[in-house]
Amino acid sequence: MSLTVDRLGASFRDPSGFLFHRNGQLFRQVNNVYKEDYDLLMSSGLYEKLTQKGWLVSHVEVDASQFVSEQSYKFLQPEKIKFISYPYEWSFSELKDAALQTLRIQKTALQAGMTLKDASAYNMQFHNVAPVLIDTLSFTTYIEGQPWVAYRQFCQHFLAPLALMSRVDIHLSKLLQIYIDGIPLDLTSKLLPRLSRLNGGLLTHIHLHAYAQKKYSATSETHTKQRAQVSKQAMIGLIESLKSTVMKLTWKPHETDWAEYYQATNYSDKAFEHKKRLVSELIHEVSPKTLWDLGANNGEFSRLGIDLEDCSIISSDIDPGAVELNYLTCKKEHIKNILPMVIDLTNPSPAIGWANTERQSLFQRGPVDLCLALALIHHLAISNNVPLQDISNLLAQSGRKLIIEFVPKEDSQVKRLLASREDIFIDYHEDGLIRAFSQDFLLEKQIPIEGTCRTVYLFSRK
Amino acid sequence: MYLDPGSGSVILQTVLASLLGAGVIIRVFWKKIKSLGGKKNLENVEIEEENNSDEFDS
Repeated sequence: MSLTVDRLGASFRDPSGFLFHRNGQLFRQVNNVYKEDYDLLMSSGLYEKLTQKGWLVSHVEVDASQFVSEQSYKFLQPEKIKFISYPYEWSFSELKDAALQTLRIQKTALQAGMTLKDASAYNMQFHNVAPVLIDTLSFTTYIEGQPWVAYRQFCQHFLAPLALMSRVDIHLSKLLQIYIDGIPLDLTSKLLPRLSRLNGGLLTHIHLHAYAQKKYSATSETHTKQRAQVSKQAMIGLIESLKSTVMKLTWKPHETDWAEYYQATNYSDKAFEHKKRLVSELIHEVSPKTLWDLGANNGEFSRLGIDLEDCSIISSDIDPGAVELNYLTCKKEHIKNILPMVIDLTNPSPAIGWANTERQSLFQRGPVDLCLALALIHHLAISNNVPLQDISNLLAQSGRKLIIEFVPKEDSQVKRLLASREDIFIDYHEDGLIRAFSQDFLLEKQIPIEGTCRTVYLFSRK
Repeated sequence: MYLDPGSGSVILQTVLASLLGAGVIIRVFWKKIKSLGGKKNLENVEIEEENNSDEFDS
């Protein structure tokens, strides 16, 4: 008798197969309806080519007779992706790189007689600091003359948010959190400045595309299919045009902001070096397999853990500019175990999609072995009025161990935060911190940073 | 096909098809002309095209 399996919440749209967990391991069922496409993927050399390049997640076929059903053709065990992140959590260049990787894969697939039947940004994940396609079942046999079924999805998931981030405001990537199948093109067209029509790619793939969607919304599908003929040459032209449009979209923070990211404000060089040495020693003492640097700024302190073997590091900050710089630095220095993410801890990613189970909330994807919260608590406690006890509760959900840098009221950074408001934070001091955190954590170490009034703490969850 | 490609998206592709297809042919042709000027032979150009066709110069 076959066992029934519980498929993952996000794995229901495509009838070709689905993902499920069993005994803590991830499996993919390939259904009989996908048999011919799967066999072509494996026999055409496309799978080998894409996995060798690191563009497609690799898998092994497994014998799983206990799960066999009338529907099932094969069972795969995909290579594990350490942390699943979502496009609304990526910096500009992360989304841009994922977009270009999707187009590269599509072009390579066409050469092998296949095509991507979807182009969802959620199918791309960062693995060793490069975007990789995680959906093995995204390929289908290419039939000459057929248009690209995933063209609309590519434009909604990648081109629209990139154009809005580049041409309107970087924070508009968060629209992806509201529109789970990508930002509607009519909305994108409305939000983009008029001058964007002078860009041939945006004019075609966003503005005319939105117009065509509206004009032909009532056209019957059969009628469209009968008329549609797109040669292979034209399909390659379409991919090239999308590539060129994506590549021309750029964004970088204001130059003065970039300079600020490099400066360790309020520190002498000596104090900064002492803090680095101290935090590095503590990280290596804990020797985590998973580390989350909250409020990581440009990721300088996250990079203290790059020599830890097999340690997966999430480096998050609220500032898209800092995260962009972090990602570009990791790319340039070939740092493979850090994933920079844009996260607002005062309003972290919720669980969204169908039945709120398609995309997990940030904390559903934890906890980690070690959390870093360096010069972060004062932003949460003073700028956002969160009581220290509540911060402790949240951090206890997030990590088993915790390194905190506490910035007291005597520090100029906190003085600045309090300059324009009444000081209602009577518990905001070292004793208050230890008292609040002692309900969830055991205090292991408490070390002052030389030349400052700041202190570093190592806590361990009770 | 489990995705709805969208009638407008399909029609736009067919309208763009001739333009985009012609663009690819012109680009390939132009590269060949340029490389002939550089005294490379056509065979080498075709091999280079094949090698570079899946790599974006990003």
